[in-house]
Amino acid sequence: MTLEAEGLCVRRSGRALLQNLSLSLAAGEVLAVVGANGAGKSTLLRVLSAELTPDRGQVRLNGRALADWPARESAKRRAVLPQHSPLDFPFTALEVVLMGRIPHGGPGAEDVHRAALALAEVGLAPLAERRYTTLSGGERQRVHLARVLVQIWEPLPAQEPRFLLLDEPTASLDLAHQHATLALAQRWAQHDLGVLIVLHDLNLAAQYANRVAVLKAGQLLAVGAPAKVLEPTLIAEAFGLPVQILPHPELPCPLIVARAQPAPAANQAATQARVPIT
Amino acid sequence: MSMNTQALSLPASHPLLQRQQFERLTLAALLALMVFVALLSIAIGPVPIPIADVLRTLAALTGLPVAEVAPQHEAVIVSIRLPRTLLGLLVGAGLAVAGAAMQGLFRNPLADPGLIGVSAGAALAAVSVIVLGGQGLAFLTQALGPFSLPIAAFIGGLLTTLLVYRLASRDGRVSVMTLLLAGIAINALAGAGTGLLTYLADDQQLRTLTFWSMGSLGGATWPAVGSAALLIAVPLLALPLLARTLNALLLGEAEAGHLGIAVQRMQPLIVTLAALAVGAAVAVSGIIGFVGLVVPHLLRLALGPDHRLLLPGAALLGGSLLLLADLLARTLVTPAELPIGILTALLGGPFFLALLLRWQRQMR
Repeated sequence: MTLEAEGLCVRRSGRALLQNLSLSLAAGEVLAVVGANGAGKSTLLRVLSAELTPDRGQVRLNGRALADWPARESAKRRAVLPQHSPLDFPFTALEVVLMGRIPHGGPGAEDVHRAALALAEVGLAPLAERRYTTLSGGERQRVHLARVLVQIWEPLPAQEPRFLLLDEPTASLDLAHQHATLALAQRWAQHDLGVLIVLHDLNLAAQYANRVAVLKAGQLLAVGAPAKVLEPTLIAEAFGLPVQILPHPELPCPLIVARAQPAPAANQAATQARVPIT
Repeated sequence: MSMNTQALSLPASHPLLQRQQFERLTLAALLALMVFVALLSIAIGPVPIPIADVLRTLAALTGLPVAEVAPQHEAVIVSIRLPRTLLGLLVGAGLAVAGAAMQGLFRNPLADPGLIGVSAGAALAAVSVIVLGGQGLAFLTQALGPFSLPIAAFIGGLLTTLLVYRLASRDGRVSVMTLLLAGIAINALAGAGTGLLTYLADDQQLRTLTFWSMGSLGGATWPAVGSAALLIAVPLLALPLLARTLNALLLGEAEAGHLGIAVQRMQPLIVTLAALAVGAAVAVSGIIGFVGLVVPHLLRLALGPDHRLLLPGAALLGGSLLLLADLLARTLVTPAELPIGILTALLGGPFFLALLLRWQRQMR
């Protein structure tokens, strides 16, 4: 059972945001979605989370079309971490996390316990009673991560898989927390859970994802194991940047570094101009 | 990301339990305040009535066997003070709950039915019925009878809320700037419409209209209380049931959708309920500003933004605050009476400015 997108097409104001895109996310895997700005990553995420209805194609959640799921039932099966939440009210961190329990009914003692566990999971247990509005950007992002974890906290009957969709979860995090967040995603994927992460950093994708999907102009350029997909020609095509692939010094994954670029012409001219003066 | 097991039991148990106790105490205190202010409002006036007589009369009304009260006092209570007090409680509770709900809907604590033009829209519709009720809109007044005024005000409020929401939201995000600017424009337009109708009105209607633009509980009669109670009771009871939906909406529309909330159905429902409360309040008491702004804000300071507490709390504190304002309005310049809207504006205007300044600092 999977979260499966089939032949997705989305057009907005004359522009094709997604073109015939098919992709499936299975339980137990971390799938990183990468691509240049405007490649359609966020649009894909919005379609997968039923926020946007595709013009053509459909998304199936565990074998059933997304539109046929009652909203609450699909909410128990997949949670979505937004890039930014407009929340601007002084809830405590714990209260924000507890909102993840809304699809499961009232917040009882059990829910509070789970919310506290989820906060500990993202390393924010000491801030449970702090007001959300007093938290830093990175802390807010981790509170929301705890909220989406608690939304799909318990296993479903018959080991039905759950899915976690994360939209650039590392955007406002420092280096240590970027890795901690992705390690958490990796850990969670081991429990009947499929994790899809929209990422900008190819090295994070290479290190933590089981599969990488590369998007360009709304189309799927390639999908597969990081070592197979992340190679210089493809990256140059997707991002327009010449890169070199090195072996990671410690891990069995590729390390992507940008190549030295020829200095821009204007700079050269300036350097040359300075020579006769000195 | 350390799994600190020791920290787990702490946040779940004691600070939370302490806060829940504090929340219950606060709600109880608000209830006590409301009862106290209501008794004061019945006792104080040109004819002072001892609290004991007030209690005795109220007990007699509920059928309890008690000693006789001076008939003059009883008459004042039953025909003047009691309906006025009940109306004040209803209008205050309705405005405060509607304000809290709109702030949740717009995800902004500055939304107030008066500021964003909803009250003015409701008032314009109601004034149209007063002035044109005998002519152009006669079919309406005949069909709806005593409810024509509140229903017209409700429709006016509903249409303005929808219009403001349309203007201020884009891609599920509400722009505060557009919201307040749209409010200014709608207030101006509705004010112009009301002004135009004032020009057409005769002397008798004119007197009704002036009381309207400033707000007053002076029109408190039992039929007015009845119609207001009937219409305001619906949002007062229904909006607290939507508290969790309102909480989720604060996260954002998309985020609420991801939590399994049927956002497309819930938003119009909340708009309708809030407009019903504002419309009914405006129909019986005119435009009373700032109650919907000040009350939820004070409560958020004490109880936090959770709508499950905020909405019942707003009903209790809104009623008390409006009764206090009314008490001042009719005692400060006796035997004359100040329009209550002047008092709430005197209190709410500076309050709003302070909020605006703080918001501006935050944005930097």
